[in-house]
Amino acid sequence: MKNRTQVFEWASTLIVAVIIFCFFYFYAWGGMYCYGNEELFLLSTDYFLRYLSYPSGFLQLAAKLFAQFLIFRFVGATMFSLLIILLQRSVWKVASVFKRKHIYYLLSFIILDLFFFDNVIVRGYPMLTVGCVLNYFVFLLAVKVKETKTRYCIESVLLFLMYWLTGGVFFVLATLLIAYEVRYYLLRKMYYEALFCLVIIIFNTLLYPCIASYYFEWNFSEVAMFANVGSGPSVIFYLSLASVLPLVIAYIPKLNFVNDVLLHCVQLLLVVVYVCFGVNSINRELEYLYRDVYFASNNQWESICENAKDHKPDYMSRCVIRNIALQKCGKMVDEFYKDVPSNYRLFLFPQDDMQRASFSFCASTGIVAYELGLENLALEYFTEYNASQLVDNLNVLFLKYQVKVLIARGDYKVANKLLNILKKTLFHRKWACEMSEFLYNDKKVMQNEELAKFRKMKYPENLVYSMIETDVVLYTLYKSNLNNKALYEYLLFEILRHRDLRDFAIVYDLGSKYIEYPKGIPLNFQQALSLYWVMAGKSLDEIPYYIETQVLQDCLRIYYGSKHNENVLPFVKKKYPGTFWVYYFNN
Amino acid sequence: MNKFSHYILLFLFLFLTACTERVVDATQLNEKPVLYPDYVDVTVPYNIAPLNFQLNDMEGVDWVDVVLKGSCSGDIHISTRRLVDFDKQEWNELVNKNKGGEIVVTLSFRKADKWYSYKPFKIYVSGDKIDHSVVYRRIQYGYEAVGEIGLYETRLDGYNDRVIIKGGCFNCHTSNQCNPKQSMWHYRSSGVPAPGATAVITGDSVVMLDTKTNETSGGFVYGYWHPSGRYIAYALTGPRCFIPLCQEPVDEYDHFADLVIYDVKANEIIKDERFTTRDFFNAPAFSPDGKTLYFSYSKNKYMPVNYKELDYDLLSVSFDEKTGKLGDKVDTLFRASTMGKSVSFARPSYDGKYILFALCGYGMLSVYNKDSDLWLYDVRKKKARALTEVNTDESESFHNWSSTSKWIVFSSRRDDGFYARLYFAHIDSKGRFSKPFMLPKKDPKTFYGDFTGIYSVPEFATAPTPLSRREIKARLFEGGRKKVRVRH
Repeated sequence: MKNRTQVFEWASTLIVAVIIFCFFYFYAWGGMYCYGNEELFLLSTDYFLRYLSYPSGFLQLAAKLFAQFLIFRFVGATMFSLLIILLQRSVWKVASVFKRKHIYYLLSFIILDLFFFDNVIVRGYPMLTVGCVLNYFVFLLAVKVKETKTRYCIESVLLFLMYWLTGGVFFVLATLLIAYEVRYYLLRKMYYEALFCLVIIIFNTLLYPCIASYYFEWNFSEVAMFANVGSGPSVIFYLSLASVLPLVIAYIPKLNFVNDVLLHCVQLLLVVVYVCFGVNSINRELEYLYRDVYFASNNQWESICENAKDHKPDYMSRCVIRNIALQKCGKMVDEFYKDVPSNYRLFLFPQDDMQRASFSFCASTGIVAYELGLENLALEYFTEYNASQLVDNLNVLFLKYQVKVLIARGDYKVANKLLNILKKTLFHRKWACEMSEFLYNDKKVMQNEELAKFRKMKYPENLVYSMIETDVVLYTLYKSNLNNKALYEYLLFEILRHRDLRDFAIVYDLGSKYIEYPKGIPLNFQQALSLYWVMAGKSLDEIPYYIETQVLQDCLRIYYGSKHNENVLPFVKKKYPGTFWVYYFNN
Repeated sequence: MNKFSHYILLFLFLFLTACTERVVDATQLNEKPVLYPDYVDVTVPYNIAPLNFQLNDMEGVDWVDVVLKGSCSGDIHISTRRLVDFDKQEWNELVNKNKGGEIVVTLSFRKADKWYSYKPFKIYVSGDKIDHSVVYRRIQYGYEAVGEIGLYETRLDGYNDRVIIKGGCFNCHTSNQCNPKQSMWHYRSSGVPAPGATAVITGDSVVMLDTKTNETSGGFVYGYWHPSGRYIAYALTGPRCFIPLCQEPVDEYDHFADLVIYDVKANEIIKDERFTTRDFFNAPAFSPDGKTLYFSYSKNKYMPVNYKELDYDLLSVSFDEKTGKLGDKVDTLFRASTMGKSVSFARPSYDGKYILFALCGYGMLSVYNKDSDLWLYDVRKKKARALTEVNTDESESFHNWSSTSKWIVFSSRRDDGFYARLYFAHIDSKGRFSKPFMLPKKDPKTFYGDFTGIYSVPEFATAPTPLSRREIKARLFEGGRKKVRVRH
């Protein structure tokens, strides 16, 4: 019987582990990659000591250590499933010490719910797991060591250490566990021992905030924040709930069968509610954006286009990355107006200034600017994001982009500094060492295709501009880089965004001598050129480019139709779906 | 003694002997070492923290041996693998014994089992004491993001940083002649979590001001205390950051710049129509006797199109302490515009002998200008000179004097070309500066290497900031703001 129960318990745990692994490996891998890059973990004594010097620093350090593995899909998924299992089993183990394991069984899985919260996923889980495991051992010590004065001393020292190292995670659990001890002594009329335990609780409960408050001059909200960095108060809330409810119900005198069933029903309900809530809160669009960032940083532009086809972009940042991917694949001129919501489709850069320091805004703007050779804009947004983070939370992916821009523009001193930081990491050291070879070596830089291309891009003049003047910036750069197809197309589409046909015709003419389209002028450009020609009152016979006869005929029809207040949009939508004319005549 | 004790003693002996190496048959090199930070031939105050350092290039070096010998008396011998980490007590004893003298440093290193010795260098110990601490702003380099921006205080006889306040946009900390009991700073905010304010600290009292009025062009920005503590001269400007296409990643220009006097006691702005015109009046500073106000001036320019033509000259105007009014006579002390340059942040020494300022290509925020250099104006001789002994090719800016006017602190990007660090230099009786040295740290290479923030707006403090961070924050977030009035 016991064996059957054990098999059942382990089987259920393993099934959960497999589900978690599949979830991360097949679905949430983009998020893992980006979050893994968020954690700059340095192998340096100074770095370790800095963390250990403040409450819960140890836990954060452990979390950062784990989080950096997330950049590897298989390792990340395995790690998460192991962590979750460890967490679930440790909660359960604690319950078994109470001899109330069955009561906790269902509820121990409630922790799964935490998966679906973005802010929890990276640091929250490793923190929780390490915290719970440590907590479990302390508890075992507390319960199993003989009840002597030595035990109280060990307990006090350990509790102090645990509070300091693990912060808030232990704060709640430890307090609950000692509360259990108090109850144990009270029932046996061991009042002094109970009082001592109470003193420990009060001492530690007050000690932790007090130390933080006075030593670091923090206020209480800061103490709370540091105690639960990354995981947020929700973790504490759920854990409290998971621990308190069964404790309360478990000690209702004379438990009977009805109570047990009722208890399990309540637990099941809780798990279902939380998991449903969790699943509902999954941000699919964000996950696709993370995947796009992964593809972009690995130059897998085709994959971004595929991703956009399978899952149409909804976020502005995704549209922006999708547009640069289209350009890289040579599909921009044909597919720019296709498959994305009309309100976002035209953004070449995100336009929402409120999100300036967000990951999605900085990643998309930075990547597009980098690919176009807009050196300061690229540097600015990668730096901007890192500047908005705490000192030790620099984004490694952005740091790498920063390094490439800096080397390309010859800022070797600064690049060297950033490379020295990256050399202290576990997984980026090799990359940093390779990039170091470019430092102060202009010849080698010019031999590298990516860096040389960037370096050759030069602005003829300096300008003061803002993001809304993207066309000015692109034009300024294009003027001195006439062979650059990406810039040319971006500039043309930016002008078309403003429905400025005259400027379009001028720029198109300027670039047509340098940029070739072997399959003929793209349909979107044919539409813009013919429309400009007709609207300017010029004869279509004099148009110096080859425009398809059908396009010319339709252009005349649309023009005269719109001139006589005819709604030409249905015709345009039907005959030319997903093209410039639809955008132009759609308000 | 039993057998066990013998083993312990043997182990201790082996451990201690294994951790030291002796310099044997060293090859003498005809050059001085390149250190990080560069402490070769610098002048330091006798109350400075130990100047820990290491060889800048440790490639292949497996052992370093350093001998410090005082010209008067005392010595220190350190044998280490990397960091030359002085014992604080030993260091203090050595520098105190050699006040006014020098310390000769001999550095040897072992590479591929061979010892080499550099040419000895000197650390000159000045008899002039440096102030208790330096207060500065630490900020991540970004366009808008605030990150970990905050005001910090670092004791100069130690390494620890103390947070005065952080967690928002705190800037332009200014005290009255290095006295932390009379200081001010700004908190910029869009209203959340607390409205913006100018904090004026006098003794234990902190007043949070709302400095925007209908009759002035903007809020207080660059301020400077009158020595009496009664007034603060302010520039009202509208600085804007932007991203130029090339050169500096971020630059800044002013939309306008007016000059006003704030009466701390009466909580009133004293406005003078002559200094609130369309021309630019910026970065005021009182002379130590309080009778003159120095400021930067430029003719009106069409902004931001001509932001690179905004060249400030150094001017002065008399000041009447009784009425708080500016006098009639305005003098031009240094006409930088004729050189196509701009004077930024004139800072008179507290002994009244000099005015230190940054000279850069354009505008006021010299930190963004790579060509920004420090210049010294001799008040008596009425002549200015570039501080060639201090300047480098990188930007030098945000300078201030110590309370004794014997030391200066400034912010420079010389270390890695981007991240500004703090440097200190000593001025002698002839007005010559010593070679600057970097703010000491316990392990400088690791600290400055990993740190991606910048140090800006440093100034000396003669004592610790009297208010705790909690107290300051409480006042800030209480929400109450005292509205500033305009005197008619």
